[in-house]
Amino acid sequence: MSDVAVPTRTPELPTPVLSVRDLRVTFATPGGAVPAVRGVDLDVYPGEAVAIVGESGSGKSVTMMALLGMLNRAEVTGSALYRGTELVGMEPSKLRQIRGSKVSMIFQDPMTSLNPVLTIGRQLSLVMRAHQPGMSKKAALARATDLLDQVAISQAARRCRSYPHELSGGMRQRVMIAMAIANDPEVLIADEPTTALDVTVQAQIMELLGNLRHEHHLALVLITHDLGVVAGATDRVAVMYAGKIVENGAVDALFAHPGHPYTRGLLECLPRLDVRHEIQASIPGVPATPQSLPPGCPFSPRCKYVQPSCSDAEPVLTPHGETMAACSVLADVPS
Amino acid sequence: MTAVSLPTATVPPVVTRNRWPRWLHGPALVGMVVLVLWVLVALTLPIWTPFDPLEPVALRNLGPRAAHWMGTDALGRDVFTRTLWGARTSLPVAAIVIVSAVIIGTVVGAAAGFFGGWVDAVLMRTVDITMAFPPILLAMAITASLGPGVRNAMIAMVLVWWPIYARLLRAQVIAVRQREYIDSAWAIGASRWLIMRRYILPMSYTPVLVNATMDFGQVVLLLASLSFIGLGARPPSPEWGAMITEGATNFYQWWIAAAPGLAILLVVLAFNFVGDALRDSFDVKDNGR
Repeated sequence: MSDVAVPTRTPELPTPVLSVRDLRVTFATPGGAVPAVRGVDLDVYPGEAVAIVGESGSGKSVTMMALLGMLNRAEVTGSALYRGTELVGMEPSKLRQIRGSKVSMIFQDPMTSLNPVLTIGRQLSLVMRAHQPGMSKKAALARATDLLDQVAISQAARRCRSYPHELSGGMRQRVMIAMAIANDPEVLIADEPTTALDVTVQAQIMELLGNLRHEHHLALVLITHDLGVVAGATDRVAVMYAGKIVENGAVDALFAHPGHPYTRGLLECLPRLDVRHEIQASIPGVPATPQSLPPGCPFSPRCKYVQPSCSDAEPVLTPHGETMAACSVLADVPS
Repeated sequence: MTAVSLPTATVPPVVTRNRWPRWLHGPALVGMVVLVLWVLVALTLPIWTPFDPLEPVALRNLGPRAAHWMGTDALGRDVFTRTLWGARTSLPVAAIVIVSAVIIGTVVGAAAGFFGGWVDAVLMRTVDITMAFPPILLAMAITASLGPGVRNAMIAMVLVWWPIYARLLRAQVIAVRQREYIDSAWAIGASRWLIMRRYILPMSYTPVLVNATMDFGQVVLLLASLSFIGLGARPPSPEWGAMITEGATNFYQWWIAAAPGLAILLVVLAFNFVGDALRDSFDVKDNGR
């Protein structure tokens, strides 16, 4: 199975920094067990950028939060290796040392993700001192100023004394990024980092993430529902639907020759300047929810290529052109 | 330095913070001045008072006059001096009770809100049981069983008071715990203790502080009540409640009860003014400023 999840990889980077195998997340609810993630395989190599794309509820955020042990009331099974160390089922105190230090995460809404009662400098210092207990307050503050500089916040020394409410959304997201890179992580998970921001600021933040990735040789996992962001910023894309990866491949190949009907649908939904639309395209129907999965392929009720056989068994990822796609009728469908 | 090519985020001007508290005006300012005066009096009283609070200094039951502003009581002691001395009991007792109750309530409420589950259930049912009794009744029962005296009255009042803060804080902690910045604190690998101390508590504390300010007056009143029925301070110690009891037996010498009564009124009112203003100023819903 491991070779299946890694379709296109440059040979000079053989060991993934993050290796996820058959990760499953189940929430126990009063209405029964809800399988939010149903077996995800994903490899992240040092320094590369991977996008996880999917609609709301497809399990993309849950996957990443699960491997960082941030889901309290969920059953997580499978395997997630960070440099060979198993994260699933790891002791919370050990996992805490990895979280925020080796693997860090930034969230969607910078307006609410900062502690409102601490100055920026103090918060940055806390992140560093939480993982480097020997660090002096003075050294931490000096490094905090340096970090704000790196994320292109001007007058960094002065900003260190500001409270979050004194900063704009874009600046707060920069602060979040500064916090995430404070301990020189190897993997940065960005959960829809630009969704809550203005379009112009979005571009700046994506550019900043790209620059930091190259400077620090940082692997970036970008969780998003915006394919427009994906195209310019990442090397590889994993498309998620109903808790599974339905297509996985290099970004160019996937955009040029999407294999899975769902990916095609997503791409058709992107507004284009060169084609005149009467009505913006969309995928009919509603996303499958973990509570009520259709038999067989979870996408089949919305799929325009659907065959009777689609309801028989859930397809697995198989090579299709340059990507891997989980669709059983692909052979008959021209891309 | 490293990211010179990036457009720099614009810097809004740093807001200069006004040092004078916004809420401190009008009645709150009056209350604050009264409280500061009381504290000063309590601290410096032995230096400048001409009379001993426990010894007869003049004839008995003298009415108010130039030498004895609030007259003398049934034993010939100066009522004004004794009233001022009362602050040396009431204010420290109230402070100790409130601080102890806040500390216990904070620990219990924070634990209940943070851990949830059975911890929450056990702690909060304890709170419910305690709060099911009227405070004065429970305080009386506890003091009576421990034996009358200021120390036992204090223990009783702490036992009666902490559940209020536990309940307040628990509700806040549960609300704050849901905020996204707590998630991001987890994501940076902060420990539970750090999250509780630096991320949740500072955001949860406002209602407790406001209530504690208001309750200060209530505790002063409760101590006086316990002393009045003979469970708190014992004669001859100059305590407001105990002095009112003495005044009640000398009904026609109105000043004996009126002076400590006035003192209680001033202190309770002052704390209420300050507490009210604090509550208004911290109430986000009512605060367009």
